[in-house]
Amino acid sequence: MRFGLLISFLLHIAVVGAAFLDLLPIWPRQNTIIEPYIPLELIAEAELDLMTSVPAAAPAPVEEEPEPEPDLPEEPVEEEPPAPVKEPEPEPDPAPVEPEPEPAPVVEDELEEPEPTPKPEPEKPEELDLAALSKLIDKERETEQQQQRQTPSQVTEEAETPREAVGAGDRLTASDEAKMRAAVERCWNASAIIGAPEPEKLVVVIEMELNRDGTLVSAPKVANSLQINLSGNRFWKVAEQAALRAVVSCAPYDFLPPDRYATWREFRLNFDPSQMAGF
Amino acid sequence: MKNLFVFIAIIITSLASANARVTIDITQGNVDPMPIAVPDIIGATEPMASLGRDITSVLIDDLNRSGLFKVIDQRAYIEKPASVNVRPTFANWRIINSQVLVVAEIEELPDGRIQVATRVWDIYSDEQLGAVAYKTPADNWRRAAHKVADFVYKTLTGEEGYFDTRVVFVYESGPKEKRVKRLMIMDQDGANPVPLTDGLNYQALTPRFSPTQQQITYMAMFDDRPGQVYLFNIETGEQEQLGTFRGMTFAPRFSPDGREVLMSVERGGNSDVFKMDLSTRRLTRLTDHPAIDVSPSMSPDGRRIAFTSDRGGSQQIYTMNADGSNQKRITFGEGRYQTPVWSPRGDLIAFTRQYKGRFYIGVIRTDGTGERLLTESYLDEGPTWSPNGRVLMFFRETPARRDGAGGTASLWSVDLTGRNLRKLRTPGDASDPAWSPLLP
Repeated sequence: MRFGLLISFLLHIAVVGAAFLDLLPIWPRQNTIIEPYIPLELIAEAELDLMTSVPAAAPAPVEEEPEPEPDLPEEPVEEEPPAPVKEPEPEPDPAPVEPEPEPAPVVEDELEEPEPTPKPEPEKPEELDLAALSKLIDKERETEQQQQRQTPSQVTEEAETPREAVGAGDRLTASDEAKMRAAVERCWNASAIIGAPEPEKLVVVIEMELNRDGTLVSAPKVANSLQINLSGNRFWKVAEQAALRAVVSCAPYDFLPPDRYATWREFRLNFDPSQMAGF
Repeated sequence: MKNLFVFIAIIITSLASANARVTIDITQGNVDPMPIAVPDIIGATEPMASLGRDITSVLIDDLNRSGLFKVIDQRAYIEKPASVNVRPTFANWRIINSQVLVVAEIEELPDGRIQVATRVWDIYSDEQLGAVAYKTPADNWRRAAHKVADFVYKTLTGEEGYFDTRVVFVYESGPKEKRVKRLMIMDQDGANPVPLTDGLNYQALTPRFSPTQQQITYMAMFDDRPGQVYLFNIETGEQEQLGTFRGMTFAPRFSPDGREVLMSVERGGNSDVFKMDLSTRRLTRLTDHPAIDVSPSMSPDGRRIAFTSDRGGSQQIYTMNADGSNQKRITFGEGRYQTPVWSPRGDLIAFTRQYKGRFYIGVIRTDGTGERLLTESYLDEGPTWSPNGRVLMFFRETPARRDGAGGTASLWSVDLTGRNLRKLRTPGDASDPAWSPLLP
């Protein structure tokens, strides 16, 4: 009897002890502790710019940050041949060359066009009453826009002929417009923008002028640049850079017919990412 | 007077049209990754050049994996930058169709540390988009690479990057019927995996990162008692149970300021949402409903909480104010919606949807509009946002064969646009990922 009691007592202790031990290791015995992170010391952008002068040309770094929109000064900077290399030279070349082929004044071009086109122009008065002309242009633009909406983006050759006959160099033909849109859309890399919040607020308006050979007369301008800079919206700034990159990388627009130059000399492109985002 | 304005307006419009400027709306861009050039990081000495190459390869890997950039093969480059301080010849980079050039140089500082200076150039506007330099001990070079990648990302997208981050996940091993689940941490790119718990006396589930500290909260499952929520400091290894409950506590998640933990508490078969103040340990009930209310997640401004409830018949997502008032349902689709996670940007809620035997990861606006499903598979679950709210990570399981073998679990990531679905590199089967905030 006593022996049994002792056994029972020992067993109880063992059970309780085991249970106790079992409860203890609720915490894992070894926790691998992650080493504390080694800090990285950041040198601010401005500071770095001071430390590291971009070759020769002092103005180069200065113009980067504060520039609100003066896209033009780029060329001069390039020429200053800051770099020890000669390569930059091909760059400035095209720019100065371009202006030459362009037959100077705007008005002349416009006047010039109607004459060589003997095709029947129903709506067009013989001589150039400016007011009437602009009215006409307005009207035609409207109808063209309406047609645009119905036209699929891939405009076929058939579409071109009748249009040509009617427009005769007053307005960009639907086919040219479609080609232009397709080209710019191909060049517009929007991958970084479409995930941005509120894409409908990121519209960038670019204005550019082309030479007869389809090259850019000068660096394209951002019409709403001031608004973009004042907004402080980084996504908008990025959208601006992407749009500029698109129109510059797409040049020359040599698929546009030189004989209708007056119709496509100046473009205003509205880059609107909202439809792509899907939100 | 009014007529005068109209008149002026007409004149202005006619003038504008008189110069025959053509207006075109550009609405469809290409979404291919942006081609960029990243030459090897320049180093003056051989050891520095070698370290530079290592950093470059991590940098290129980060940028490519984002799906937003495509680093052009270095063999195509016709210019080799000699210094980070020399203006590149843009024509040489235009020829290979690069839109952006990243030039960096590494040098050894007198105190033995390294400095990586980086410049990002726009090839088409010929201008510098940004410049930065980092100093750090040489053996910390991987983080230097991630920091540079984050800088490039921010320069080109306008938002913070997410490369200098880590991921905690549940590392699964052993046969299906005796699965060992323990916590593991690794860099966002899969490097440096380190186990955090041994998985011997409990299974770890649903780890969640604190948005402000190197701390996680998770649920521990025991064989002999209800699972409980724990706090785990990953720098010190300290752990503690959050409160003592007779029922199970689960699905914990930090508030955006890191001061509270939201969780579900089960009492007598019913689950409700609670929040615990971490400094006072006071528990506040947020829902009181006979239905099952689980998986709370707070908006980044701390004002609203999304959670799941089956009060309407099937599991759907609801939102409420941070004090539990103003509860309203935001999803109405067929099937079941689970694990809502509020985006760090605040504009979207990610979720898991189960419908007709398939699982989907999706996002929806916080008012319940604009639902979009991003992935679909036999089992996709547990979305977690990158700290910038741009990428979702989740886990995917494949079905086991009839004998129970063959099923796998792995971590995946997808861009919130639904593009760039990628599998992550993990040491073995992995589930329940939790993305850390950007490292300090």
